[in-house]
Amino acid sequence: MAGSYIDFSQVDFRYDAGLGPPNWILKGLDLGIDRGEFYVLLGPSGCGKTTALNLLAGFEHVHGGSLAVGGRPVTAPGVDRVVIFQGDDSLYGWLTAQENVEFGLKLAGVPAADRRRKAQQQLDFVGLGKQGHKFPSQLSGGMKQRIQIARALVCESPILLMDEPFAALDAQTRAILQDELTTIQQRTASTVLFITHDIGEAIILADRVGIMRSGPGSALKEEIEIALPRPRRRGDPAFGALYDRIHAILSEEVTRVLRREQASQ
Amino acid sequence: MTSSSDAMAATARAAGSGGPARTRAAVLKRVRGTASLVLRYAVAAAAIGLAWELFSVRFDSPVLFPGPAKTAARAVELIEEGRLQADILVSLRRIVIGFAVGSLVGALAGLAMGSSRLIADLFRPLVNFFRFIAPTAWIATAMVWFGLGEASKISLIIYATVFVVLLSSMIGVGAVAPNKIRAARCLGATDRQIFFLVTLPGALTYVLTGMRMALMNAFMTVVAAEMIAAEAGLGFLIYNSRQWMETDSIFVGMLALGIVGLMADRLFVLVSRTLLRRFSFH
Amino acid sequence: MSATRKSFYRGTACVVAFLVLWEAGARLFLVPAVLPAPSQIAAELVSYAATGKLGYDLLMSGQRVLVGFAIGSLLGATLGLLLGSFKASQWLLEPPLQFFRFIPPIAWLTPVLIWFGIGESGKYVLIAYTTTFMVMINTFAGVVGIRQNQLRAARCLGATRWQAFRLVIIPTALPHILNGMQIGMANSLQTLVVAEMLAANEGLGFLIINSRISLSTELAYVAIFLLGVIGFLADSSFRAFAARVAWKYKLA
Repeated sequence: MAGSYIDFSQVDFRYDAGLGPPNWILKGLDLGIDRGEFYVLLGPSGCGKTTALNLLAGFEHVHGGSLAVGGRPVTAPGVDRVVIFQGDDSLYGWLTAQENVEFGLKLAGVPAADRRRKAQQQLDFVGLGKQGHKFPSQLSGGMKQRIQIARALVCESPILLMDEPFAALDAQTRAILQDELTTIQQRTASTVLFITHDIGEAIILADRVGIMRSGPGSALKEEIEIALPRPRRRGDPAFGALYDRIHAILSEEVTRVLRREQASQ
Repeated sequence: MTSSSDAMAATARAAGSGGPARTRAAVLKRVRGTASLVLRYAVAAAAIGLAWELFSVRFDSPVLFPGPAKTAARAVELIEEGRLQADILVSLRRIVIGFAVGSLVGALAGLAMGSSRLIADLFRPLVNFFRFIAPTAWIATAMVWFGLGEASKISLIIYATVFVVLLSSMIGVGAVAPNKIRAARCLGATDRQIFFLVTLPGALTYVLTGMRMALMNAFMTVVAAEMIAAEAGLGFLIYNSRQWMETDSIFVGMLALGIVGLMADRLFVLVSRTLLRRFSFH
Repeated sequence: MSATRKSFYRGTACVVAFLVLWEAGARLFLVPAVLPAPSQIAAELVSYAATGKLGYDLLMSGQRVLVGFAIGSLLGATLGLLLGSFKASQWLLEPPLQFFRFIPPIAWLTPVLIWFGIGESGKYVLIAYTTTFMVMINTFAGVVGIRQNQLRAARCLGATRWQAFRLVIIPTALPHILNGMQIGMANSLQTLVVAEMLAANEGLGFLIINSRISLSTELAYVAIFLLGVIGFLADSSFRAFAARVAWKYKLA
């Protein structure tokens, strides 16, 4: 959407398969995210949500259309668009939690004392103030995700990209982290692109939910504003209505995927 | 209320089936994969061949450093004389026999040591000492005990194989998920049944990995043994050619070793994969 | 009695039983030329050591291994790191590596002897090759197998190419380098023994093969015993080093 802070405009993307026909993941994707907005991307598997995030992160390049942030095209990864990955395999096992959080600052050449102070601040913020000396292998899944969040926050990046960060966690931890994330985002006013499979999670977190079509060559199907006041609770009737609505749209796409698979047999 | 689009798809998909579309795509992927592999090997071989040729031309001493052409010619000669095949077969025979016996003994011993605390405790110090002695160090002993014939070389290969397979098998027993054994106990299995029906198949991957490593060891040992004390075999071909300054024969021998070794390894991987598919549940 | 104490006693008992059986069997049924008794081997060890020649043999063997090993480790690690970091070299290098790993290092002794003669340099080259190859192949595998998200995280946190190499790739590769060095040391010892049997006038390998001529089988067994001890110590050192110093890299 032209004019938005984050602007996907007719974005095409495919994977190079070498021999054989091209494998279009995204075709004509139009997506706009406003500054300070919490945008959740929802969709069936293989619909290209992770690809959209990777494009915004700068890990891949668009084949068609344009992708810009604040008017400037995205060309490479940068500290202004920090990623929080799914799972824990992006943390560095040979560094303590504190050193992991400091990593971005160390790369930027921030002096050690400042680094330590800022990292400790963020660790306190995410509730790991006393665990800074521990190694990732000594910490639980939820704590490891918090380290990632702290690592991203300490860089004070305006945009946070989160690829199903809570998928590998148990339900209780997920609920706690969802609340924490909402608090953090309200406080820092950062722009967030959050990917998930979980409709409930989407409604709890998002200002706006974008539902993608099934692949290949997918784009946005529909967007839904979530105007509920925060904090949001699942028991709320408004929550239930939204859930059903999104569920209906989503299952259309899921059925379409299955129908296509069965047809090609 | 935490349904996911994935769960929806999965349950619906369970009603459907795979179908020929999936296999067609899989076959295409396989073909593409093998084509890419063949291309890489071809490019690598061409690049090395070129570098070799350039190097030998710069070195300019066909005796000290023959180029690929001269080596190929020599290979043809040796094949026509029947010498190359004979040497390959001699070495292979020693390896196969030694490897088979060593693997069997090593696997059984390793499984036993892995399953029984008593046996492990008893033999661990001895195993941990003897496994560090290079097999070839025993060549003199082997020749005194077994004479100058095949037995001495094969005994060394057995030695080389046993310890590697033993260690791997021992670890394999430990790697069998305890719940599998517990489940068997709940169902009333005796110790013997547990060993043969749960531990053995479970540890199989590790045994096979150990055997694969031991195969390389066996090659190393047979070459060394043949260099020191044999009148035939690839190691003999390589070392003996030094006397006549036939460096091209040396290169032929080394290349033959590489090819035979690579093929043996690939064959082993193929066999173990088919075996695992029958027994594996992962 | 605790489990470890029990293990220890059982193990020791077995070793003692083994030695006793060996001693009895050797003395009663065999000739030293066939199999010397442990006591005879021990006696030879002491007397040979007293002449000072054993120290010399150990020194020569040790030197050959350590020099070659040091060069090989450095070279192998550097090559593995560099070549593994570029997609192009990854693609090119795997097939030849997979081929050359099946040519046993000892096979290279023959060309090395022709090119370098039977002096020390040839042995250094041979051992260096053995170690380089093993360390390189392991380091290479470690770098190639690096988790994509770790590199991506570094990039989006603002790392330059060099920073990513220094702060992510090298630490990830460290356990692999160490593992390669451990196997490389074992391979080097094996290769050294054979090289000394065929082309040296001193060293442990020479002692073993020379016993056929000098009819001192006890000495050969002394050398075999020492080889076992050295191999065991080397392996234990690596294990200890990995456990005390490099443990946090293993946990990556």
